[in-house]
Amino acid sequence: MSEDDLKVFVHGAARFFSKISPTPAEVGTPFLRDESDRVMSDFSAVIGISGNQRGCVYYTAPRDMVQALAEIFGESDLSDDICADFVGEIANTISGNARLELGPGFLISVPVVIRGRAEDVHFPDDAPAFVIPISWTGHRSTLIICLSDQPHSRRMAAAQ
Amino acid sequence: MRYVSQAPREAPSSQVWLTIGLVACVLLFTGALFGTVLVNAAITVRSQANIRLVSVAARQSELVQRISKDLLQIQLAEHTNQAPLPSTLGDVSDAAATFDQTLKAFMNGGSTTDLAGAALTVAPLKGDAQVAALAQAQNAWSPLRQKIASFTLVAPPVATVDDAASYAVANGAQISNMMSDIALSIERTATQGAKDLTFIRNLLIGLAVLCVVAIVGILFTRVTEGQNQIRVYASSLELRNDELAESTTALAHAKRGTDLIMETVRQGLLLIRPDYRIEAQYSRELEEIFRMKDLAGHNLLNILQRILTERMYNTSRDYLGLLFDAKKKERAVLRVNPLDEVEVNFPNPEGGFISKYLGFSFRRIVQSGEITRVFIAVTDVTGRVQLERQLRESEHKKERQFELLLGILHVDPRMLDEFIAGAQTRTREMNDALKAQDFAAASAGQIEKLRQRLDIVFRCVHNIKGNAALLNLEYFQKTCDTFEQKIVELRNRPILGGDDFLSIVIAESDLRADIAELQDLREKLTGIQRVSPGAISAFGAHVRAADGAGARESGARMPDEVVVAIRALAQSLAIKLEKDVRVVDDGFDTRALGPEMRRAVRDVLVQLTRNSLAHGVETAQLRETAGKPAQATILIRGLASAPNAFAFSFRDDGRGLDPAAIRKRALELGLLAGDEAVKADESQVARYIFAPGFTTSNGATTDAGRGVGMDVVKHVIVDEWGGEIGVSSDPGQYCEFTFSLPIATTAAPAGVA
Repeated sequence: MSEDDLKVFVHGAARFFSKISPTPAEVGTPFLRDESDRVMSDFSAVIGISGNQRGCVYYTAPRDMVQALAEIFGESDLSDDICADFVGEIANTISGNARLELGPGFLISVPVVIRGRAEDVHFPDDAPAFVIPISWTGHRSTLIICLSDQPHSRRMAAAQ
Repeated sequence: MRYVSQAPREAPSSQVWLTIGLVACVLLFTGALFGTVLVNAAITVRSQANIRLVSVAARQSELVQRISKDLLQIQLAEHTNQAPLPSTLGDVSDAAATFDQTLKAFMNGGSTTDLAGAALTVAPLKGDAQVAALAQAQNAWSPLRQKIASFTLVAPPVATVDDAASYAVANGAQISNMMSDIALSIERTATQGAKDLTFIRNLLIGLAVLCVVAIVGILFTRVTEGQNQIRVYASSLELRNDELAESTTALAHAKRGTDLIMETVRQGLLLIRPDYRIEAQYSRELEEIFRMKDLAGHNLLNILQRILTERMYNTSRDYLGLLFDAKKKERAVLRVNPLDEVEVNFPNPEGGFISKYLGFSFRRIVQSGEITRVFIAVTDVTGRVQLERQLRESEHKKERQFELLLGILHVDPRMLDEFIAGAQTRTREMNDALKAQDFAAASAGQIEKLRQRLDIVFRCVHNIKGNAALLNLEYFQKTCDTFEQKIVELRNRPILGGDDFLSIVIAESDLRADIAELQDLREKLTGIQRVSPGAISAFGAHVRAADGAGARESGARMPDEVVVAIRALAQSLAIKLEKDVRVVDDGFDTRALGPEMRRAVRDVLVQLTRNSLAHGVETAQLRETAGKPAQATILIRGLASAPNAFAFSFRDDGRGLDPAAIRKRALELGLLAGDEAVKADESQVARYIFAPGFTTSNGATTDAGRGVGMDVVKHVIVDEWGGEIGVSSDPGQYCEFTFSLPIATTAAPAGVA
């Protein structure tokens, strides 16, 4: 896991906010997730990564932030469905940016949205989870990146 | 089982000849029929012409008789003095003219009128007898014609009439007979001609009948042959049917077997066409492997595109192209199979992927020199690959742990435990500092906060590095050194953002993993030690034994393990830096302290020792030049302290602090303003050595020079333990630090787990 790989996802999230709002997102100091950390928020989206590296990327945001986003888009319906759609859209931007930046050695899944504070979310045991706070207009969301290098067999490494 | 049957065959020439004969007969029959019709028509036309001709010839005879009769009537009338009837005279004249015209026509050809008064063209009669008869008739007729030529509507003279009548009576019958003969002759000629035509017609009819017979015969032969053929075909068909039935049974049996294989085989078996579409027959397992139903007709590449990375998909697409490229040798193509073992990923409905490993093997199917299909066997090799991976990882881990083991064999287990616990505490501390989640912004204040977090991380890493040096754990020293380089790089940036810390948190993650691995190894060693106590950490035990022996010889008590470790660190650094130093303890004993404080004291001594060796202690040559003993001395003393406090000092007889250099550096870093630098006394200036990142050294090394060591000392003593630090120094002579720590009785200090 390199710094550049992490930045791909961070910049993907930041790009979404810079597109939709004049106020850019601010990236907080990242840290490693400990077992006791409760990092999941009201709405989350998970993106699966495979290929040269394997794992998942979560984007999770509180309801008030997602509703603020929805209002920017002129959305009067601030229901859970709409909020879930917006989080899915942010995850799509992150996913799309990752596809573009990481290159053909990666397989990036379509995001799956999870509603509610999904504290029972499973993080892979064999990879550290990097927690990266992303703030926008005083609201705080979080990007959680959990990737490990893919240990290829010799044959696969040769093919790659 | 193979079935062979022969289709009945016939002689093709016989059929051809029959066909040719049939066609010829039909043509001949048609021709004969047509000829018959034509001949019949000719006979009819000719008969009618002959009838007219004969009747005209017969009329000549009648005309002569009529002329004779009319002449006698005229003669009678004149002799009875009656005027002849004009009509009679006209009749004679007309009859004579008609006779004359007809006779000339018979002789020379020409036209005359028939009995109905219609014009009739007559060909000259050519038969010798006819010509002679005509000549005779002409000779006999000519005198009569001349005699009656003068007959007009006016009555002719009696003599003329008598002459004509007498001639007519005398020759009329002869002329009439001649003309009758001529008529008969013409009739005979016509009859003969009709007979000839009738013969031809009969011939043609006969030919037509023969043709019909031949056609019937040929058709009969054909029908007979056809029936024979049908019988042969029927027989052949029956044979074929039997064969087919047998073959179908065999095929059904074979298919049942194949289906059974396809249903039960634990491999994905399929055939693909040159357009990469999957054939209808494939094994059920394939659907399980690809997690798709009804694969027939699907393009294999499309399926692969969904489950492979773009790079692997592109490789696979090119490879399938090679498989169908007849110009490429199969053996060479199979040798470079990139799908021999490939990771595939299926979307997980709950997010992420379900990963598997598949092994593809290929075989070309060649028909008539053309690659028509490729047979593919797909096997789920996930279990094997994961096992291989676990084995590889296990081997790799063993290798790493063996390296680590070699690096820690000399370390006292208890000190190793303390190192691990301390390192874990420091990594938690740095992670907690990062968790504070201060957000980067353009404001200087927040950047300053970020820098403070960075200083905390730096301090933690440096602390771990110092303790690694204390135990001579080179691997951890190097890891921490690399970590510190990343921190220094961030420190030098004018603007900091949260994402700049990504490199830091990655390094922290790596360090955590190394410590976890060390702990794992330590736990294993504990197990071994239970079996063979004392076998591990021989070096540490040896050091303790040596120190213990020395102490016993000198009558002193056993030295503190912290001192032993600091002594070993000092020796190690002295060798490395080519300096000569000894560590002397005096009344210093941490054994009564709690483990946290003991660790804190040790951490402080480690940093001070590293600083002394790096900056304070001179080389032996410089020391001798300065009139000092070649061997430097570090003195660690226990100091008298208040109750519930622990006091100690650390002193080296090196070059001491350089107030001018400190002042200059403080000015450069903006810690002192210009006038403050002038006013500040040496004791005030000395406090800046504890500032984060403060160093008077021009270059950093693994051991010192990054300005963190004294920050660590201050942090541990003051920030964590609420203690005090005193500094005294005589430039060129010594530098001494004194510490006083309150002894906590209820809880661990801030920042210490």
